[in-house]
Amino acid sequence: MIQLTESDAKNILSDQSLCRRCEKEGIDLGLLIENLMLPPEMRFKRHQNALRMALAFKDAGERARRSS
Amino acid sequence: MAETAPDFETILRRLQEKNVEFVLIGGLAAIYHGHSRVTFDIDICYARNKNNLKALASVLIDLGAKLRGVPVDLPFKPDARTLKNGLNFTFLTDHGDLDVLGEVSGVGGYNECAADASIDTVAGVSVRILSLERLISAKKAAGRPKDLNDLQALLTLKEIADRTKRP
Repeated sequence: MIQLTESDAKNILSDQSLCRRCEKEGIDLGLLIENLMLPPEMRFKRHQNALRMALAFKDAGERARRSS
Repeated sequence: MAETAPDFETILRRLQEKNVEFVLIGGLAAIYHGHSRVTFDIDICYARNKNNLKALASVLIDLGAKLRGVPVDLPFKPDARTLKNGLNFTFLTDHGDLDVLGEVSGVGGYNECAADASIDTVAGVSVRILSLERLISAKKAAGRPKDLNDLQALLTLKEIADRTKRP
């Protein structure tokens, strides 16, 4: 498991070839770098928050569809 | 009714409390390695020795595990014998979906998964987590569209890991 420093992150994001490849493949390199700068425990907390939000939006969408 | 978020922490804690030998695989392992996806279930690969089957069965009963995607009236008891007679199971539990695999395509069983797994703290629980290299092998072998999407991100993460490897 790796955890990037700010300097690592800058180096990676300055690699234009990697950035272009990720863009072409639909990979959000910035988001991966952001995750890699966090300790693992924080990566899971971030995921758990995203999951709660995803379910809240799913629920809201379902309610809206039912009421329309 | 609003869907509640799965409680991964409780599932992991119960597994740890009963000393179940397992490796965290799938989406949560990918998140551990830096992937930015959302996963709705927890996947583990478990050891198939007698004691572990008993320990895992006890946790499954404790979690109220039922087979996922089968009629609710289908009789099923997640005991050690059932686990021994099967291999890979998908469960719905009181705390969220839990997939337990005796074998992971492209990787192997528990011993192969555990061989170079990291041991780290996830949601306050110390767990073994499948290595990035083996996660990539598993995604390649699974080959479903969602796995292939993950694969590209995991290969990028591996490239970054190789570049920034520290002694």
